[in-house]
Amino acid sequence: MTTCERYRDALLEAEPDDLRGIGQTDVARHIKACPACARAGEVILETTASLNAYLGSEEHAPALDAVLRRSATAEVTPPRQTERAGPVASWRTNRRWVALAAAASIAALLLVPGRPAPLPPTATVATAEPLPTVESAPGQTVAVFETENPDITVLWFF
Amino acid sequence: MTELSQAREIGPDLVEKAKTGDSEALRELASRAYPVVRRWALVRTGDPADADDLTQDVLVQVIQRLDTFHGSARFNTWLYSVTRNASTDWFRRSGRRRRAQGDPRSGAFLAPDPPPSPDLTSDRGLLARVIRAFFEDLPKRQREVFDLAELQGLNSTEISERLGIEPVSVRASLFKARRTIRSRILENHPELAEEWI
Repeated sequence: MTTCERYRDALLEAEPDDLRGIGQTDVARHIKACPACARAGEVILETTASLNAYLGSEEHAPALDAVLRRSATAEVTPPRQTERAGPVASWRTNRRWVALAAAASIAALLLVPGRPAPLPPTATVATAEPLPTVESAPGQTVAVFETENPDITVLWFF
Repeated sequence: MTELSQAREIGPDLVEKAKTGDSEALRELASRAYPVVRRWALVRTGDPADADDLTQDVLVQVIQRLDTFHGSARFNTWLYSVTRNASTDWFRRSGRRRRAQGDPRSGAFLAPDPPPSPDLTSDRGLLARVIRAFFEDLPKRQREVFDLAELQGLNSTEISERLGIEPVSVRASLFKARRTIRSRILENHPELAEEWI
């Protein structure tokens, strides 16, 4: 692979400043030294700028009067849960903590003597049949959930 | 954030004034939000007429729900969230309407034709191809990230807040989008390949 072939691939992901030859990265230094790659960088930046101009262009003046009128008379659409005022939470990070907190509370409920096993909100309290005796392995905790179907009991080991 | 992005940030003072019902503040807020929302709407819909419709819908919702914005994040972040949700609803409605009318485009993505520009007449064909690549070859997530990062200059943290994804996913999407768009640009300049040593 020639030198420029190697850098041609790097041009496809380089930062804009590298394409301008600004800075001390390999790509920036090569751009400063190689007219052909510098030209390729220029073309990429110019075309990208044209795309930016296209996206920012507005063919029509905004119909603000219509917007203000509609907002005064239209039915109010309720906001979605995801439209929170604060930063959008990272579900992948937070659900781990939510699960741990839930597990800890359930474990606390189970370990306190005399308390019944917690039920999920949609379940109803079962009638006569006692809960099965479930023993967890050392170092594990188990939560036992009844369901509306008396033949189905959910066991959660964690 | 670039200077352009900073200039487009709608400050808390204007938002608070608009929340009191001040009609001038509301108009000013709508006027400043319009270009911001329209751009995002165009990135999401790919069609200028659809973007205009969606922008109006979004601005109406923004004004109606201004009371639900409490200022713990930047207003533009909340504005982006309203735009994204409104565009999801809009796609659902427009897909149903098009299917009902027997429109073969229903559900398909239309890349717009670029407007004629005296500065771009010699490269209009290239720009049209790049715009089509932007709207047709990039998945929606990459399109959004490319616009926010590459074109508007937001950093990974700001973008991850707006889109609700991890910064590492922002970087991955950006690199993939750059590769796609830049490959298309260079493909349309075969003379550059001849100059490479």
